[in-house]
Amino acid sequence: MKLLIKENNEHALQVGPKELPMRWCPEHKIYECFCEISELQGENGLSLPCDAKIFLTKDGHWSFQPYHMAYVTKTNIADKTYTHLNYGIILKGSNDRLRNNLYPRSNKNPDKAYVDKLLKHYQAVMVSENYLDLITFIPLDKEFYKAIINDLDFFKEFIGLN
Amino acid sequence: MKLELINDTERILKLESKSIKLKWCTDHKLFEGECNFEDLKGAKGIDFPFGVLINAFQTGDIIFPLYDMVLVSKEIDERKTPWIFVHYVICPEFETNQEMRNKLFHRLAINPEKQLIKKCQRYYLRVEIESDMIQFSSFVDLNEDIYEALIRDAKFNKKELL
Repeated sequence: MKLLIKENNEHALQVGPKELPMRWCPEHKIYECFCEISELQGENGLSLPCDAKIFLTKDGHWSFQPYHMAYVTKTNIADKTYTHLNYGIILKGSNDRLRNNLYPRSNKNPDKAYVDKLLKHYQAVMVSENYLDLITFIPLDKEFYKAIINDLDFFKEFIGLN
Repeated sequence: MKLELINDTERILKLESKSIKLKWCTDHKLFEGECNFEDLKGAKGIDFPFGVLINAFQTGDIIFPLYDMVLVSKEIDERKTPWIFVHYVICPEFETNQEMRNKLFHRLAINPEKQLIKKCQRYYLRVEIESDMIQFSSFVDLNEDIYEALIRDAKFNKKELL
């Protein structure tokens, strides 16, 4: 993976033979691009630019079961930098069963035991009434493709998709 | 103006007269660097990269002697229009020009002159006046010389605030 700075300081990310155009997101203040998960084989966080966010696509779609959005970026925690894998899942509508498991009693407090099960696999879990965010941090020198597949397999099995 | 890569956490912004070393700031999640007002002569927002924050200093004849920080970056507003955003910070306590500072804080923060504040609000995009900090913000058109805009603001400040 290599960052390319083009004419007029436009950014692109070279992943294997592909050159992915990057777009500045004024809301998140980061350069964003889209990349097929399969094309990230062999890549690790060392060559991921600090100001980049790669949205994962599968067969050209950036929303794929069970995720509505998944991305890779870099995060600093206690002066150490990690590759940050973030998976977003909308709870209402398509994931009613997951939502019912997270909120068996009310909409206010997610079920702690269910969240704890997720926390055994992920480093962070953020739950709101409508949205579930699952986060994995991995060392920069570790290949993140394998971690993405591992997370995807785990979550599919967890919610009974396999 | 041209952005060049050094490594993952360092980049160079090449201006007409100077190259500015930019370092990745993990707190602000931006590439940050410093230069003098004069170094920005001829630089326009059109080729100013996103995700870069420049702290501009005054040298030689100090045009407005109370600036503690002048920050230059490229932002996109809610109408999706990109601008150069210039942010001026003045603090009450600093090593130099203490009498001048006391007077300014008295006029704007302690015993505020309504007319003067209105004048500042008419001139600037944003004016924030607190007892421990005065902040002004300007938007500069992408085709305008950034140095000329800094001088224009400094002249306004000198005429109205000193």
